[in-house]
Amino acid sequence: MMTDSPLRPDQPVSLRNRLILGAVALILVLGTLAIIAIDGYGKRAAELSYDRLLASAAFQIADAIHVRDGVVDVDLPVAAFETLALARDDRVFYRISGPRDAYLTGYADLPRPAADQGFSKDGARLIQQRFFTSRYLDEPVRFIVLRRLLTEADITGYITVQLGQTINARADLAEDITGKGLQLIAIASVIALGLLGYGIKRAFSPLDQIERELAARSPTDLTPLHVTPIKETWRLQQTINHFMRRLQDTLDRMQRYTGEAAHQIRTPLAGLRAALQNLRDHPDIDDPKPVYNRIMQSVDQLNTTVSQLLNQATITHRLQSEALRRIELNKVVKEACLELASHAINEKVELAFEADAEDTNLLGDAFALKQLFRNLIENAVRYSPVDGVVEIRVHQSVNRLFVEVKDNGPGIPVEYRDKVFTRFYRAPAAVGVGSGLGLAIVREIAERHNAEVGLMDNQPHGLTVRVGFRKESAHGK
Amino acid sequence: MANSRFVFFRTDLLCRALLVLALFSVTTARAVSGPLPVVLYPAQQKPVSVLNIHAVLDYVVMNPIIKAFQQRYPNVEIRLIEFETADLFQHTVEGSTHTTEPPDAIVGDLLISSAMDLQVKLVNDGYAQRYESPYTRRIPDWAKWRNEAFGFTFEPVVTVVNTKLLPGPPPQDRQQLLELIRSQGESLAGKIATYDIARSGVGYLFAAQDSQQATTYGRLLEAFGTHSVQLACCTGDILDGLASGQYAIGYNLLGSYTKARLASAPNLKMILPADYTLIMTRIALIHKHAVNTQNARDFLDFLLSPAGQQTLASESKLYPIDPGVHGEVTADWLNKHAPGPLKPITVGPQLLVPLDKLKRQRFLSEWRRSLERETKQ
Repeated sequence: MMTDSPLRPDQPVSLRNRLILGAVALILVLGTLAIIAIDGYGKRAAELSYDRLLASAAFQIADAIHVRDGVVDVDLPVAAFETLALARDDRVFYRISGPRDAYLTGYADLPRPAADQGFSKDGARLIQQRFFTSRYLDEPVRFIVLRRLLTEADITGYITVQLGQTINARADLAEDITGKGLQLIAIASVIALGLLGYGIKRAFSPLDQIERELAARSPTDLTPLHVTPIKETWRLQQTINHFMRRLQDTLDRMQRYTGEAAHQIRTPLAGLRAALQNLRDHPDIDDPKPVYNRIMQSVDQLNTTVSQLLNQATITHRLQSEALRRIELNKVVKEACLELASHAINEKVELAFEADAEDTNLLGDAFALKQLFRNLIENAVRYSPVDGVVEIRVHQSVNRLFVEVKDNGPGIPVEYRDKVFTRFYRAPAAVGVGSGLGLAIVREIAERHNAEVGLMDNQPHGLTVRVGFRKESAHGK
Repeated sequence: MANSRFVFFRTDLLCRALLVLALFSVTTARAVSGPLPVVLYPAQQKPVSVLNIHAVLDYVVMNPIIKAFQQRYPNVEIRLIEFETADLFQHTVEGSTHTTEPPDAIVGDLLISSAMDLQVKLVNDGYAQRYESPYTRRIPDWAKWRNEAFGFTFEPVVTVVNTKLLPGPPPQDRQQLLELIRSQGESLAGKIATYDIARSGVGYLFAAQDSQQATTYGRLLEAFGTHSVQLACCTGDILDGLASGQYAIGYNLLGSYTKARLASAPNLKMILPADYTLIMTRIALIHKHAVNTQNARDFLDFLLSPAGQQTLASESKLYPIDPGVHGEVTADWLNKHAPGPLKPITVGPQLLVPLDKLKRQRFLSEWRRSLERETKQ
């Protein structure tokens, strides 16, 4: 068997927490993605803008290279360096070389680009440029290498301007952009969280209202809930109200039942007490036997009532807790008969069992059903005359299985037949010691099995109790 | 221990010792070989830590600052080596080619120079280390770079005239100066002095700035050439000539040195050119491989502190950069009383341009040509 719920029952899952967790996770994921995107964007934007500055300065320098008297001369323009000085805290390095890479001026030992692959071999292009980043003097430096084709009459070839600048300003700008983005994301996240929190609180407020309403109630108040009707909680509210109604019914029934039970026990106790008092007051009574009989009768009555009450409690509990299983009705009825056979013989009543049905399989609780039949048979035996016969018969129709218990007793007048199933009701003509519980139990068990209980006259006199079960196939399985 | 030799100095001996060393420095400063001369300022308390300052600054100017510093930091022995602008740069870059006495003064913890361009190049080439403090944050942006180069003065570049030789209203700007030279004709021949920019780093710096600032510069050079301009190595020499009547006009002199001289030479008049007045700032930087970084920082902070800036103003007669310091030799006074715009020379990579090998060659040859061609005519 697999248990996939790690939660103990005292740690209930919170929908609200789940929602909040989900929302926070979503915001975290989106926020992280946004941060990555903004960081990348910031770096690229800073790179682009400062590369343009670098290129602009390199172009200004390249423009200041001329051939004078057959010599390549560089008149380094201050403006180019002022352009670069816009990156306030960055160092500047440059190297200018003439045709055949002859060093002219600047930092002779600047790192060179990895290979010449960055330039097109197309000789027709007058100006070529490429960027690269390398370390120089303990700092990362962004370099541009700009080549310009000299087209003077006496000198031809490329002059090369390599201009580099440390990357503090780029890093600062990128950081600035990212920082602003982070602020924005943080603000957006806080607002989103706030709104979500508010929304979730509002969404759960009907549940809270129901909870408050229930908590504020006294335990005996089972009247319907009165909360603002909300579509989503309407059914829950209805269910609660329905449940409370049933609870109220059960409570009512329990109260009545307790009262009746007490009454049923008190009556024989009163009889018992009267008989005993009689014996005490008249110790030398001529014939005490009738008094003893009354005592015996009262004790029997008590015994029956108490065991029936216990029985009912057991049965009720069983019916609520046990699942129905596949049973054979014939077998159950037969067992009930066998169990009561000796009792019947004591009462000088004959039990006759007849099974007229072949397939008597159905879903049921064998223990409860046996109790049902025992009650019916006991009743029949109780009301049968001496040497009477109680017939027990199992037979079937197209979609029913019937169990009939027939006696030759006095029978029950038609007008009382509805009432005998009520607890503690005893027909006026009833004899012997009955608790008035037997048929109530019968009905309870029958209801659990979807069976009907009918009372009919027996011929020439007596009572027939018929319990009709639906056949298993009639349920459509 | 090198330190232990000097802790025996008593304060009454201090002055004599300093004097001896100072004289020694003057006589041997220009020596090409041999150990560099060191001026010693012994610590007044034990334990002693040694701060090496390499400076392009007159001992006289530096003295009050160091004294004031040692009052606050009596445990610091200061060893000052005076350099020429180019020498300081060379020494810092090449370092080990020199020797010093004592030998552990070879690395300057703190480098101070008026050659802004060379100081910027030292920073650009990675010889300085970063430092940030409440004091460095007070420096205006134009006067510092990368938190490695720190300008601490605000000195005007001025024109000085000898009022005895030049009666009448002195020229207020370069245009008037040009007209004056032209109108005076031959009488001014040999009477105009300015920096020999081939020899003086500061002179070269000012000339380069002039060439960027104004078109009058070329015409001024021509006028100088036709009047046999006298070239000198330093502001002090020109001021001497002006005071003695050898020169009538000195162009592009350091305002701070001029201001200090005015008291003893009433015949001199200092003019802040009204078309524009260049402002230079002396730059201090902490050597990347400073042995005593902590005291170098202390000294820099003191230099920039209100107390240090006040000492600069009242005793060293160097215009301090802090606008909060009041007096006549201050940035504050210049801002209020200058007749024209002040053009501070911005500390930054653009100062590298005049140092470019080809640029310098071309600039110097053009400078010589304009001076010489006109002289021959």
